[in-house]
Amino acid sequence: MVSAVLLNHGHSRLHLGFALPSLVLTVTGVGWWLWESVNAGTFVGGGSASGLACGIAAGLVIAFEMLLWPRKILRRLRLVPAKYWMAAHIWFGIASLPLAIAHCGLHLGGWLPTTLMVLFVLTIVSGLYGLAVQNILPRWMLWNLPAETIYNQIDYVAQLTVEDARKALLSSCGRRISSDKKSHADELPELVSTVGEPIIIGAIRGAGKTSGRSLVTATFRDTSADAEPLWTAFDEIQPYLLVGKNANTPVTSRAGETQYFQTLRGACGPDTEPVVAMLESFCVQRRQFDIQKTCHRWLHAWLPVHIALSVAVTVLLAMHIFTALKYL
Amino acid sequence: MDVRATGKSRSQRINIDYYRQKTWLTRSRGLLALAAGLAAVCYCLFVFAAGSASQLSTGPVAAAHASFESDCQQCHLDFTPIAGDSIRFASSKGLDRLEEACQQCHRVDHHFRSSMKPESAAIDQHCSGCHTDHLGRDNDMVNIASRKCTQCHSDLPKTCQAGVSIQVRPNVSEFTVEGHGTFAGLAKDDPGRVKFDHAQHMRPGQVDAGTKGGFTIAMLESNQREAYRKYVDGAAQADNSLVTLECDDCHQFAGQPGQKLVGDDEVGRHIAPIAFEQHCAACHSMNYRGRIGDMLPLPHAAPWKEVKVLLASKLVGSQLSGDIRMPRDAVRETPLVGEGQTQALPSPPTTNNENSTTKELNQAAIRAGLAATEKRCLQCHVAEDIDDESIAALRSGSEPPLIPERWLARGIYDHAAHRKVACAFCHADAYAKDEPAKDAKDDEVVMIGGIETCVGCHRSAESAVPETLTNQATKNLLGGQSNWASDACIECHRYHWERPQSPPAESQVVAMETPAP
Repeated sequence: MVSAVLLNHGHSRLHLGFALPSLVLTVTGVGWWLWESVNAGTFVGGGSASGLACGIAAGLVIAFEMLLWPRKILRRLRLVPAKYWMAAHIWFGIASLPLAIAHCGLHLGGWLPTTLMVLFVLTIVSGLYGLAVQNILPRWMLWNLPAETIYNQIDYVAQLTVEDARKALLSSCGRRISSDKKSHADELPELVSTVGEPIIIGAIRGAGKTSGRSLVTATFRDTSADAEPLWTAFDEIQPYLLVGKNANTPVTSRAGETQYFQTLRGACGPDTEPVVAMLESFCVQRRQFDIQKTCHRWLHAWLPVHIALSVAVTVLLAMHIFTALKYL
Repeated sequence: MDVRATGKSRSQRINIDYYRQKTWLTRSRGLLALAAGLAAVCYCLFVFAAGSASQLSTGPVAAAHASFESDCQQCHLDFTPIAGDSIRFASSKGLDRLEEACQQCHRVDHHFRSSMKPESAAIDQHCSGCHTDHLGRDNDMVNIASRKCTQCHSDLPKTCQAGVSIQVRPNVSEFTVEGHGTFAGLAKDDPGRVKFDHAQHMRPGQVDAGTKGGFTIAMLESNQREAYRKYVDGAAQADNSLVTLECDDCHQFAGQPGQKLVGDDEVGRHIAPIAFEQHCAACHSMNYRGRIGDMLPLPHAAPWKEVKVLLASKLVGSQLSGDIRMPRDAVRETPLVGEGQTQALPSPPTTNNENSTTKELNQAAIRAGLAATEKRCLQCHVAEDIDDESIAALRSGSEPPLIPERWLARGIYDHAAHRKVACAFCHADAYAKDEPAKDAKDDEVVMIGGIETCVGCHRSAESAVPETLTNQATKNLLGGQSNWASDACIECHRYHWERPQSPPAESQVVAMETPAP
């Protein structure tokens, strides 16, 4: 993972600029500590000159790592590009672990230093996990989830998709003719026939005074003869398009989806193929959204843990500094 | 409508203000950070409020200190470094405090501190520099790494102040012949002044093999016979059996109270000093026989005046009681046949001349007794050691004992720890050889194996077993004892002396010759 970061020619210059200083810092600190330990015949702790130096270095690194937080809050000030902050955050953060281990002399001690050390290790581990998944998963998603969208817009896009499907059916096969829907003729938009007319895919979107609208249009052949199976299919896949894998529909599973659209194509005439293909692509999109949701959790769920651990480590570090100086 | 739509087409299907919408991720991030921060602060408050040492301590203190584990101030002074590895930052105030705290219980003296340079003196004063605590209940705080010793002893001139006379080997780096040097106690002649032949005493009957006239059990003082009677297969030796001595007939485990080194008085560590009455008197009694029927037990190492009085009292008393008759004493002591018991026996003629003769005879007998006693003394002692002045000095302790209590005075040899090892492993010269007896040199030669005897087993863990320890004869001598043991300085040496009531002159403590490297 680390080598993947460094071997990426696009990143190597950026990361080497921080990896090498952090390596020098680690080797110097740990080397000094080892030398002093060998001379002492035991692993010296935080009270030794080298142990104290390693501890101070690790503490300063932790303080620097935490500066990423205010930097993000004050990003409008543009305090050094974020990529430099992140590279320094990664490499000096990694360097701080061996320095901290040298500082404690391979000895955990009482509950406070033990808690601090355990939380610190967990923080580093969670950060390394984040670094790994942030370098691996996005590439995989880029190739395997072409329908990926912004995570918090998945539900919104799903609603748009349902609307698009409804419009496409109205445009191709007209209003639904099932008797149980007739009583709602005035309320249901699918009862308004637009057969043969071009439809606009998308919706007006806006935020404050800004607004926009997609201009993608599509025209379908008249497939009124297949209105019944198409509208039935719409009704059956709609829950899946809206809520994804938690919906109990014939297309929830990939195998069921393939079989379902195969049956639908058999039940409809050849002119319905564009409409059926569109419905099928909507299901594929929804499936990718579900996978994206899972990937999103893998990609980002570590961050709250990492931040929470970092906050706890910072507080306990302050306590540790005070008590260590008091009882050194 | 294809799912492989362009990024632009996808972006047109999202809300422009999507970034303002909070997700579970942003919400949980803030909540978790807040919760973690609060939890950490609460924990810190708990630590402060409860004052629990176990929370702040770097580890449990050793079992000996467990009683004040929760009272940090017993040893610590706020913001004053005293930790073992913080000596660079330790102030004199902190060192004084730590030393004072330790000395409350551990009454030990410093280690030539006044001869050290200030930085080395700080090491000496820094108790926790060697005795590291907070490493668990079972931590052995006196198991000091050799490096703690060699940091100074590998180059003593760097440690000592200019002008200090270094009276020990100045460069001890490790426990090898080269790195340590000969034991100082063996580098000079035996200070002992008692003539003794170990080899002869180890022979059955204390005579050469095949020689008649060996010492038998019956020849021992009657009250000492059982102590020397051996049992073979459960059967006791008969009275006419030859006395066969073992090492432990004379050498028993004992501590040596009164020694200066801490830990010296542990029972079993040393061999008890030889005592005449306990170890010699059975064969070498001071019982003057002379012309007196009953033996006269004379005290060992008594002043000659006292011996003379005892001899005279025995002589005169025996005369008065009729047990002995002096030359030319014609007085009948028993009635002739027919005289009867009612007739008093005639008193012996008493003339001034005769009294004078008797007195002279008695004095001659006393002189003979004294001469015989002196002859017995000179069997083991030299003449200079048996005059009244020397005896008084020895008894008062103003002169060192004729047999040193210890030869390896700078180190500790734990005999009990080596009890499986045959005595001959280290004291081979004390055993009888097949060759005829020669003049004993025991009082001139220390019969203790040198460092070469020790380094075979006491070596670094990484080194291989030396060939000398692999043959069967050596294995037999080791008696199943492991052929590896630690080579740490602490195995034989102690750093502290027991704290005297009044500070001793350091010259008294180090008055030893520097061994040849």
